[in-house]
Amino acid sequence: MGSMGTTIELRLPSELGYEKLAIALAAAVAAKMGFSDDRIADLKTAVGEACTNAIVHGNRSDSRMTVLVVMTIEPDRLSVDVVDRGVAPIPQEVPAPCIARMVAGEARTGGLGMFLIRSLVDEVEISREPDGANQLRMVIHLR
Amino acid sequence: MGGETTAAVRKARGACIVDVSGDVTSFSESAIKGAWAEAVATAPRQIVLNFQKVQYMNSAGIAILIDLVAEARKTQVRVSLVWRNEHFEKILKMVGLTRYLTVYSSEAEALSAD
Repeated sequence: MGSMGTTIELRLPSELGYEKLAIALAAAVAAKMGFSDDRIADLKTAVGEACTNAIVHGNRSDSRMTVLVVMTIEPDRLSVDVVDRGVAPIPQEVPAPCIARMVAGEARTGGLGMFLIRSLVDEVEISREPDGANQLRMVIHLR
Repeated sequence: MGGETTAAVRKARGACIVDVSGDVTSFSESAIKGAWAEAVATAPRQIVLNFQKVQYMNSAGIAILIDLVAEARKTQVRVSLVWRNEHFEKILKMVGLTRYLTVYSSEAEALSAD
């Protein structure tokens, strides 16, 4: 499977449901690289959340926009970049969800997606391109 | 794109079982909450959410579970989840929901714990 720095790109319509294509592709790539089933499951959830956020928040579910997913295969890691048009920026810091307050009806059930992304992959990097595009990079290490 | 949620209610040993299948995402809210309301209307002492046929859940699905747990606390109905899926049980533990929602590997276990 690919030599150093092989990239695979996918462009998704900004419509919920299409994140499943990115999930399936990420899982297939990770499996080929030899990641464990547990890590593949973690990656699937993280990629799903990142793409969902990109579709809903970054691109406001505007069908005229697409979400770019770029997977970079290296000998010791897999990086997945999710790029949207940046209608809303990705927050750099999201407070940990307070389930107690959510269950008590005192807080909105939001912010879970970013919390899961940060908890499930080894590295997360958020950046904003000069043209306003958001890029969320997730990296998992092949141990 | 695929994975439509279905949710149906049945009774077993004094409890209500809500059988959910498909994906559990933002698209699932109507189906799951509709079934929940149907179950609550029968005044059960326990509602068991049976997710054994759920293939995929995202954070919007977790938010639905949180809403149901919040509802259960108001109506004092015991709620539990049946789902033999290590990854999603880990996710639910990670977000802290397992403090409020016990996850069982089988319906029999969930009903016996009542």
